[in-house]
Amino acid sequence: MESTGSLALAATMRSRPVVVRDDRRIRGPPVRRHDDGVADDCRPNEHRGDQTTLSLTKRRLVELVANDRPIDGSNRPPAVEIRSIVEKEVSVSRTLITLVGRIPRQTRSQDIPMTTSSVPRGLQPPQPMVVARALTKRYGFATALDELDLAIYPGEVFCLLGANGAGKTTTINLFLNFITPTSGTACIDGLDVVTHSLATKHTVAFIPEQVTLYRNLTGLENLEYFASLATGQRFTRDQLLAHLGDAGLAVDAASRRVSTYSKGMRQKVGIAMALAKNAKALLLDEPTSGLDPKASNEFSELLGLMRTRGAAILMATHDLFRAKESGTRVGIMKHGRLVRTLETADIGHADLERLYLEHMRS
Amino acid sequence: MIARIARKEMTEMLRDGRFRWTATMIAILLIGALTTGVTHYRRTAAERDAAKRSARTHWLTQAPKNAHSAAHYGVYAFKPAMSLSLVDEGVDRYVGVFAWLEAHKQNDFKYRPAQDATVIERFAAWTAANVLQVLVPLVIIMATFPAFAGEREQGTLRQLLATGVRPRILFLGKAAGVSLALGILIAPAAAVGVMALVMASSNTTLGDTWLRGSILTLVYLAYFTGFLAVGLTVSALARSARLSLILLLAFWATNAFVAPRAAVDLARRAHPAPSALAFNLNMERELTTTGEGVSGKALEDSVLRAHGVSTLDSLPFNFAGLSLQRGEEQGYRVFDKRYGELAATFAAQDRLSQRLGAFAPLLATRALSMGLAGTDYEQHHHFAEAAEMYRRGLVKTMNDAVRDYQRGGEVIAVSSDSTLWAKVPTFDYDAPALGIVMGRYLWAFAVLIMWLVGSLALVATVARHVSASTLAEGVRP
Repeated sequence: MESTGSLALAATMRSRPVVVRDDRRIRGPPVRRHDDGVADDCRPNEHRGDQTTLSLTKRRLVELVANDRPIDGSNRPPAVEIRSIVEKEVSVSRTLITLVGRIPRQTRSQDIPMTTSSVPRGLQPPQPMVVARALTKRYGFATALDELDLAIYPGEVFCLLGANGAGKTTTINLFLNFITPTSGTACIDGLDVVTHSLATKHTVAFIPEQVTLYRNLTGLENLEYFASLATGQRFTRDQLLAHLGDAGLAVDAASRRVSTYSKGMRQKVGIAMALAKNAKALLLDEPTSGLDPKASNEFSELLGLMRTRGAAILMATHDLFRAKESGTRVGIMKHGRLVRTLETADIGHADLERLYLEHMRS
Repeated sequence: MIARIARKEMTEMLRDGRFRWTATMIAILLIGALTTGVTHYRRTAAERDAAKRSARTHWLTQAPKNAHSAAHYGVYAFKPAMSLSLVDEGVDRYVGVFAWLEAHKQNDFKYRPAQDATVIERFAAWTAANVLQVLVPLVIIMATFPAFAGEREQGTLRQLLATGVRPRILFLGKAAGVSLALGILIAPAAAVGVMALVMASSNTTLGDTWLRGSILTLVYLAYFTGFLAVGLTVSALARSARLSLILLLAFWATNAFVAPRAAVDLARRAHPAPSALAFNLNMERELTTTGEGVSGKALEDSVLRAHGVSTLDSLPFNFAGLSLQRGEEQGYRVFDKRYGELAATFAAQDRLSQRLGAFAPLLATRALSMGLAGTDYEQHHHFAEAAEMYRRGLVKTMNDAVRDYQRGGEVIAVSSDSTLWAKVPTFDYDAPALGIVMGRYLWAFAVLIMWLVGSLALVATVARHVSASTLAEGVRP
């Protein structure tokens, strides 16, 4: 919102706190947000480890952009070149791809200072869309989720792995504010989900293990209902059919009652809802469990579609294969703690499985 | 947004076989009750008119006879029915709509303890009012119990809440949807009802019927709205659809069956009324004891003394006529006292029952419904009193005739004076005006408004303050 549009150079190194009201349709307490649009409590806790590599790569990328000429005798334009470099730079977050994609043409040849905070708005790395800070949920003496720190950026697919009861669904329910955290914060698009319960829900789409729909309505009617409630807009039949088409549902199926649908078809309606809502963040709770391999594969492709549209995706799953295929990062959870985070590009199937099992056994 | 939700709720409900069947059955029952109501009303109205006319003709054309015998011959008095009585029969079924008026006795109105009629008997008489008071709330409950609890169980509620829709908007949309679906199903019955009322009303009473009908409609709407609000509230808070259904059915059964019965028992305990048998026995005993001393020898002596004569034959009038009238008047005191007490007891029971409507809105609604249809106990009593006054006039006219026209010692004299019969006017009864009826039901009105406002406040509070997380999970007991 506030972070986009202006290309003016930020004058100071530190962003200034300003008080803004979010979405006007939603009345809520005013939030202290910095001028990059992120509330104080919603800045991710810094992760150890990746920081050095990240900043090195960033510096190099900025150099490349600044030079604005083919690199190393390659006659590909710098952006494409950078993409390929970044793909190779396995330790770099995929976020940077998006960063590069967003650099406006006219600024490329300018000298760009090295620190992120003084980079022009359009050049600033995008803010994380889904953030958890020391997020904790206890039921009596049982701790369902223990100090989860997490930041998911636009274009990322973060897969939560773990046994039943490891805290995956709890995490998703906390982000949806269906349950209230015992301590810590959950933020979506820079807003705390507890204090901005409704505003944050306008940003996310939720696809549960079983997309439940009204059996007596057709797929099209279901989509129309959920999409118009989510956006407050009217949709034409063609728009809705287009979304269902993008989600892979056949036109003739769209006007059948949902009681005749298979699970895969229901999940497709769920994706179409997310598409119609133009969700910036997706929360998926084991969306592929029980799907046949083809439907599961189609679902992964749809996730890819959502990702290229810039959505940040958090997916709880049991499917290591699917996590490796469609995820950019995976997190392994155990007894409510996030015990390991990995870049999927760093690791093969076999290694992921080995690691996972190691953690489960220990 | 609200309209969108309402439309979806309505579509879903109308496509749901169970709801469609229940609602269609209710609509058929309602239309059936109205049709039988109107047929019954028209037939009895015709019979009543005919009977009234022929009774009058019989009275006027009766053979010359002793005037007192004529008073024994008596007349029938018919309580005119309002057209709304085809919607609500009220107590008419139990207390009757006509009285046999004759000399000496205030009789033939069965003064059973007012709400002696049991719930089972009420089922036997299936009127539109029963359907409206008992079955329509059941349909509303069937439509509202799954509103939130059912969606919670299916899982659609979480998805719905994940869209970021305000709980308040959801409440309003669902309320509107259920109302629309019910409206569609009740519309045909309502049309039949209006047609029946128009057909049953004469030109002179049509205006009054419209007014009463409109108030009656508002009364029932308030009654139904309360159920809608309570249904939505329970559904929003109950953790499962089953719990929601059980709670709502318990409330429904309490309101429809337990409360009326309990109200009768409570009212009877607080204001005990004698049984019909005891009442009649007491009355007879009292009539015999008070009758002594004013009739027979004592009266004779005092009359002779007053006129300064020594034999009854020397009196300037027929002593029998005077004696009969004195005896009659002696009875009035007993009647007035006893029936007055009984009426006061019933009125007290009625007032208590109206107030108990705070716990079961059916009580208040039923009272208002009967009141507006002119079939409540109060209006029956009003008619009974008018009939009694008419009877007293009739008997007095006849006794005066005996006194004045039949001189001489021959007590069993025959009157050949047929103009005497015409001296007794026809019995024209005017039902109490709407304002007076309404005045009696202020308590019921207050209670019904309390029910409406209270239930709306309840649902508004829940809708305003319930968080998405509470709504998603339901309230833990």
